[in-house]
Amino acid sequence: MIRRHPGLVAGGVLLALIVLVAILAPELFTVDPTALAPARRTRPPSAAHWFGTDMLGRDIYSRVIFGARVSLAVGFAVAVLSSVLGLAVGVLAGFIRALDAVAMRAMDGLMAIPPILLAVALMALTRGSVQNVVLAITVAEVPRVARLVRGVVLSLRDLPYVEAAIAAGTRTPMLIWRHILPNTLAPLTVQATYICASAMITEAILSFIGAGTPPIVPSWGNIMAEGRALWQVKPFIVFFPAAALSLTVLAVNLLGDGLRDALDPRRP
Amino acid sequence: MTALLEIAHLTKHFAIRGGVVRAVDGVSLALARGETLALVGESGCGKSTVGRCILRLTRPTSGQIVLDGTRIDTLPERRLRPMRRRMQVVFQDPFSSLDPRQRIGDAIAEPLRNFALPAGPAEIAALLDRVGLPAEAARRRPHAFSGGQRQRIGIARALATGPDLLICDEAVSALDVSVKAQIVNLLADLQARLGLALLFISHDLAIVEHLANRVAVMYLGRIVELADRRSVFAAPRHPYTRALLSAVPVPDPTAARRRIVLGGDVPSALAPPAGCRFHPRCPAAFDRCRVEEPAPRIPVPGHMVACHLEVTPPARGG
Repeated sequence: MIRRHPGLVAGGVLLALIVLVAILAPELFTVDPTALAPARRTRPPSAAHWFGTDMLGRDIYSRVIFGARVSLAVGFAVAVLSSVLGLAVGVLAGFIRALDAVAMRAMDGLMAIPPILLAVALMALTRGSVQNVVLAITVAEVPRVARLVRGVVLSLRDLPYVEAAIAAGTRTPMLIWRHILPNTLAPLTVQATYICASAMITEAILSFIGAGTPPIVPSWGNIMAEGRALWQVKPFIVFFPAAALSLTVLAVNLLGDGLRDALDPRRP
Repeated sequence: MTALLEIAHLTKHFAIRGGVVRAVDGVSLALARGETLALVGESGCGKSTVGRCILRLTRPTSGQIVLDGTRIDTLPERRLRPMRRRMQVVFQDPFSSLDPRQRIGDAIAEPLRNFALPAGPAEIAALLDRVGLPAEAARRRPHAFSGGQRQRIGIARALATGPDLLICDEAVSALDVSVKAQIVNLLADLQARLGLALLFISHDLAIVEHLANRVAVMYLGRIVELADRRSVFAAPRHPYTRALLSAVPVPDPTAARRRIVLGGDVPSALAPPAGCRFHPRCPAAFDRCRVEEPAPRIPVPGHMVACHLEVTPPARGG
């Protein structure tokens, strides 16, 4: 396994560790991540504050490990939601010609708006909360999934094994279930990992510009946002959440690349 | 001999940007039970489209298709379904004709389950045995098999529902020569044992000569000659058939050959030539061919040719 898919294993192990840290955050934190201590603000990393403290004296280590929960939850939720919705739209568009024209033009319209801008606009309409961040990023990602799935479905429909199944009397719902979905799942799973990674980055960007998770919830984006003004003199405030984000995105992308190779039935 | 399959004036036109492709333009033929009819012609002549129309993988534009007394070209999908059991297909590409994620046993069981037929290990093993594969093949996936083995699996799947008609769309064209011979022999053997009617769509005349009872030659969406194998190969009447046959390689380098080389390319099915569609390339074309489309004639009983050089002799007697 390790020799055949080193990226898959490395990404999986790294991501499992990060997930573990996020789950165990209430056990692993050293200082209450929301506790203010103005007297000890912007301290560099030390034995008491492993990653230092921010402008309000809050412990960055504790904030970063709690921030992992937000990033992972957003990444995972957006990946699952946009995959399911995009799969539904894509499969239906691939099979129902009338729906195809309407649904795909709507998707094209959504795709014309940069995803960050769309998410910012949607966040402007609602209150800042993790759920709303998830919904805003999902809306931006669904068209990409729908388009991918529709393309796969259209190419699968013309394959001889699908035509052979039609000729053998397989009804359309069964055809989708037995032949279309299983052969769509591999590219979709790979796409979902990339969506997960990009959703975590989008969440950080939204929080960074103040349109994401409310400041009370520590997330990697808003820790960086708060350190922004000081990053030339106190770079550690930005460095630790940025490193955590980069490492997590790397882990997810390694996993995605590994899955793409491992899910290819032609490669034993 | 009553006809199992009868096709009359079948047309299939595809609307594309800039016109209408007349892929099939008035094809009529009949196929008896247990008979092998070969449909031959160059790429793009519409032979595969005829097969796809019969299987209703595409809806014909007009014409009639009658399978064993039931007109199937206009049946709604729900009523067509029971008829699907009686006609099956084997495709050209053994790699894309099996679902890479489906185990062989499930692939063969799929048509059986669709028609609520018994699909247990015994039935699957019997079907695999019929095409010369071991029963344990059922547990494996397509990537574990060679092209020839996959084609056998495709044949087993096609035979599962006990069809009367098997459409082989270039079923051996993608295989190596030795494997090709095995599959052709398997098809011939199965046909003899099961009494299948075969519609053998191919451009490989050597195999057609080996396998077919009758041969239909297609050119640009039309059948130009239709007769029993012996007549087509020994005494071809249409200039196009003669040119096709002269292009078949002969495994004897010293044999004297007179090749008829056709000039130019096949004209576009978007704008077929006026008159006889073959006239721009025909070595024997004359004025009439340029203006008048030749009607099918029967110069010799059982031998149809669509060419102005032929005349149907008047019925004798009286």
